[in-house]
Amino acid sequence: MSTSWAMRDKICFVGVGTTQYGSFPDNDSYGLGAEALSLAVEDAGISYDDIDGMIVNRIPSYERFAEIARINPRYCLLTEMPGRFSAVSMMLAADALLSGSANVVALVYGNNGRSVRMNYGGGDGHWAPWGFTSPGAIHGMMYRNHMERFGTTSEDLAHIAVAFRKHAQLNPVAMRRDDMTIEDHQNSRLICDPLHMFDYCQINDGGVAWIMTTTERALDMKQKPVYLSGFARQDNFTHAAVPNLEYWYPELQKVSSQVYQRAGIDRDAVKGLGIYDNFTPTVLFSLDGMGFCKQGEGGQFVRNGTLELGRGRWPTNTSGGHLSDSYMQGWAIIAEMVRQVRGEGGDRQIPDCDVMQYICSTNIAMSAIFRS
Amino acid sequence: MDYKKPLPTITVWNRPFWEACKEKKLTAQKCDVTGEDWFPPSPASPATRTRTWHRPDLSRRGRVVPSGVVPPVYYKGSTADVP
Repeated sequence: MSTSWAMRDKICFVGVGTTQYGSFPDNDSYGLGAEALSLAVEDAGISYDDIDGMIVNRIPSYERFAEIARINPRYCLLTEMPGRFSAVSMMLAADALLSGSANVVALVYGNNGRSVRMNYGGGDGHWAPWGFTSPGAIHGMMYRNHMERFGTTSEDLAHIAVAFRKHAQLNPVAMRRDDMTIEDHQNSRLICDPLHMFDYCQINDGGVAWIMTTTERALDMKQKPVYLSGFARQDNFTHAAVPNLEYWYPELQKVSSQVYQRAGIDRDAVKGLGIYDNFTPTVLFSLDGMGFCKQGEGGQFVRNGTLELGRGRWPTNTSGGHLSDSYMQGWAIIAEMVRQVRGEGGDRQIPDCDVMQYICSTNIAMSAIFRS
Repeated sequence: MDYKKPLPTITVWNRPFWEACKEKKLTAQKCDVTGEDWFPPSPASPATRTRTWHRPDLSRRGRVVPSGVVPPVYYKGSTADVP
């Protein structure tokens, strides 16, 4: 009996679009999303009339966006703001396509967090009396626990930040392209001990769009299709109000046990990674949890250029990631992976890159595998 | 300020419209390619989906097609206006 996963290779990415990144006070998330979508539509070689499904993220109103882009879909959704919803949106689009709810789904992300001076931290909430309100503080506390439990260090994180910065230097549109050394990371100011400034992602304006469709349709389209071979997710909300001191390890272990099998692709065949890097520790948690190393050994694992293009086995976040390219909450990381699989990486192309894997370590823990 | 009726939410796209109102002008956006005009203000032409638009002044003359009356007082400033 075949155990092949029902969704394996059934859905493809056929177009991606990314705007410039920076501070654009004369634009907003609608304008940035609309611009990204027009780039993705052009990239896919389709017309707007082909789009019958739409998922928008970080854009306040789906109907206003649809009015602006003149789209009347038969499947439409606005997904939640956290970055974990980039890949969740992708999975929902895959469900919609496979069920026949839509034939071509446009997924659109627009963010003007920099120009509106979006604050990640402060405000009201259960932990406000302690001043403990930012995602960075939560990850700082998680990493402190990781350090005491496994002996990891701040310098381990520096290797991640430096690797991604080197990739950003190969990416002409990345936000941060100046040199960074291990010492620079260690000397950058503490934001939430043990996390330094260079452990934090960028905050910038920008837009990203993807066009997804069924494989059957994709094969007739302009671009070489990028198959969504497999994906898996496991949520953990039962202790979501406090820092997760298991770093979503059990959830990622479960995801790891499913994602390769579903895709029908062994880890050995994966050429590069895209890891959700809101903060550097998340990269370690992802590598630990997915079993790239033993739990707690991620700090050693990332030394010696393991994540660096041209040096290590696992080139990761080849655009520079959230740390150095742009904080597009996973949307641009996935767009980069599509471009890598198409062989459009330019100076930062992973050689013979036919398989990429995405990992997101958060309370919706997930991974996805893309192939050519 | 004594004005009690709701004020518009200003965005990067509608600011020029309201600025023009201060000068007693009515504006809309018009597509450079198709000539179609639209309101409310948008980042892109709905015809080309790109920034192919300009913002002409309108004639200030128009014909009311439908109209509606809202009896409940949602805003204190409207008390004197409702039937």
